[in-house]
Amino acid sequence: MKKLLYISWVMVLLLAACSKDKNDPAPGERPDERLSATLDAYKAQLVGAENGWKAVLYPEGGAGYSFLLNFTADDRVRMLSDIDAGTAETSLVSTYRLKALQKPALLFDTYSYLHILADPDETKSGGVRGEGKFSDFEFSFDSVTPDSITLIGTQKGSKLVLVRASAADAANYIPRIAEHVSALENINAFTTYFRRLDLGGRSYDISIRTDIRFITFSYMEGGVMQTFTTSYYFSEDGLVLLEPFTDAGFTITALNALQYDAANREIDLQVNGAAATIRGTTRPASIDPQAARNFYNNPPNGVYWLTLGFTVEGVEDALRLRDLPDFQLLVYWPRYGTSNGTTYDLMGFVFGNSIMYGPAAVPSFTSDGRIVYRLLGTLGEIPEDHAPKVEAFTQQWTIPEGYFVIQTGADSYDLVSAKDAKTWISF
Amino acid sequence: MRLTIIPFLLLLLSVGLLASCSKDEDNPDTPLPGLGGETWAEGPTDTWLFQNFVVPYNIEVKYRFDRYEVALNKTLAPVREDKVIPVMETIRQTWINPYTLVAGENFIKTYAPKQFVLVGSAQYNTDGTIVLGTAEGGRKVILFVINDFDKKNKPEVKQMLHTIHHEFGHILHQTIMYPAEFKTITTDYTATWYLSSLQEARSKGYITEYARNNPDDDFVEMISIMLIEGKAGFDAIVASAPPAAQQFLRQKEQLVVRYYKEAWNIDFYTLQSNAQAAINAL
Repeated sequence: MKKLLYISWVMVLLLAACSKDKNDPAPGERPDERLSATLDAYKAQLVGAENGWKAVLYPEGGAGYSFLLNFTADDRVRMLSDIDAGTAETSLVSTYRLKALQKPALLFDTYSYLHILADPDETKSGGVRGEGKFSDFEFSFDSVTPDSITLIGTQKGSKLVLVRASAADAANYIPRIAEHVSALENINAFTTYFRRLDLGGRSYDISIRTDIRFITFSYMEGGVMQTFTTSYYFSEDGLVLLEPFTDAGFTITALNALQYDAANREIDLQVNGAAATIRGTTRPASIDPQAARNFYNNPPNGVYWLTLGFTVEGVEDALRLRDLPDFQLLVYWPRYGTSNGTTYDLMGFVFGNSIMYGPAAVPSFTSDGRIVYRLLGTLGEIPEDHAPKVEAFTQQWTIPEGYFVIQTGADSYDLVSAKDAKTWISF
Repeated sequence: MRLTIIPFLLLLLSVGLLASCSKDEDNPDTPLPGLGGETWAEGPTDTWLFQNFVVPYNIEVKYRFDRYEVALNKTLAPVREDKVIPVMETIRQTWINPYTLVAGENFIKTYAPKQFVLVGSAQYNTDGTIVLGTAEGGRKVILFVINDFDKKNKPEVKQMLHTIHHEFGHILHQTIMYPAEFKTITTDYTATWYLSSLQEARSKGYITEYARNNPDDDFVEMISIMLIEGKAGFDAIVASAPPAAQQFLRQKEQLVVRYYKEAWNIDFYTLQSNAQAAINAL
């Protein structure tokens, strides 16, 4: 009986010992195998697009930039970009790598066009010193479909969206975009301060910073001046606003089919399928009647500091005040003093640490929102060799047409000559 | 007796059975991604670096951007690949070759920092200043602003060599210490060296602002400036300092020359003229 017990014990042991382990906590391939396979699959997908990928990079700092990327199996990528005319024309080959960071990642690891946006050298990026445009060149895979890949920057959180290109895209995508970009660039050659977007009976004052791709719309709503600023990128159809602009139920999402009309010095375009134009104008589309008084009444700490004199037709400090020896800045001091019962303002010329001299004038406000200065006299001694520049400045400051006052920030204003809008000064 | 032995044997048997039935599916041969260093399809730049730096000197030059080799919190740009060979060629001509001429092939092979990391942009500090080069413990040297490199721009080339000579100087004196009297020539070393101007540092007998940091940095700054400026340039710097400071700088110069002779059997003035000739030949 005991013998039988022992024999059955052996039998149980034999069966138990050789039973297969069915409790594998991670069945199938090891994590490293899966990771390798994933990286290989991503690379195969990137390289497999024979016409390359259309890409839009949205830096964390705003705006968007378009690229055409062709990945090859030898870890090289050829790219074109709409960053400037040169990058749109000539392609550049650099290296890339797929690597397992915290997530599978695509690294552009030698310099190419998309690194321009991330370059901390502000003269290259056109962004902030030390930071560039807050863009990335190392991305992790976020979502992947056969024809599109979305990647997220690992350092700044920029977004890069790739869409598989067709043969036609490969030839036309960047050239088409570059045409819109260069058509819009002409706005920088407009000599007047005001740029107006006219479309089907509506008019908006716009200002466009083509270097950082920001656009501002100014318009009146219920008697109050409103501004709306957003950044943009370019598609093959034109300029796309990253946030749509809406005014009383009318929405603009894109400025399409941009074309420069050199004869009329205007940019023709389409908004929502209807024709529109952007042109330089001598008067603003809408005037903020309060701006002039706000400007006069609320100087920060009593005075405005001006580091530049008048800008004429886009040329900064056209009177070249900076050529005066030791000239530091201008100080505009509203209500500086009173003479025979007349309160006057001072435009002080600062040399070293103190105001040495300056013209004094009396402001008046017109019903259409202008501020007009009438010359009262000069305070201080003007050295003989300074006289021509000071004289020219004073004459410009006290033109009889006066200035439109445009609020550009919480405490900052531009005064724009109401004579022709080709001369302005920033406070 | 028999019955007690049988359970014991059974116990042994069962242990044996359990052990022998373990499976071999958890095979450690599965390759881990990234283990054993990075790999990529090699191009002409990789081949050139391998032939000119890895094979002769066992120096690795990392030009493909690797976030983990640099400051994680800084915005940096990678190098342009077409700048890599000109930069490293210049380094070979102006740093390695002058040493090889006076000290033989094996000197650089033995003591050179083993890794150069190239970065395209500068590294920007929060105060607006920029970093041009850094080094870690005599092993790794990071060179910045490679994308603006132009070997015709002498001040920039000298700036880059300044970093390399400085770090290499540290390796040398950490291998064989310099004469102890160097530490007592001038004694107003300070950790806040950056608060004083170059002029002030020179008037106290220091060749650069950073030389005031501590005697070690003083020593290697002397080496570095003497090699990048050459004899004539160094003499001009000394001549521009006040008389008392001139004497200190000359004493330090003599100790550097003595150190190179005694520790490494290198004639410093020959090395200096080789280095100058190399810079002038660019």
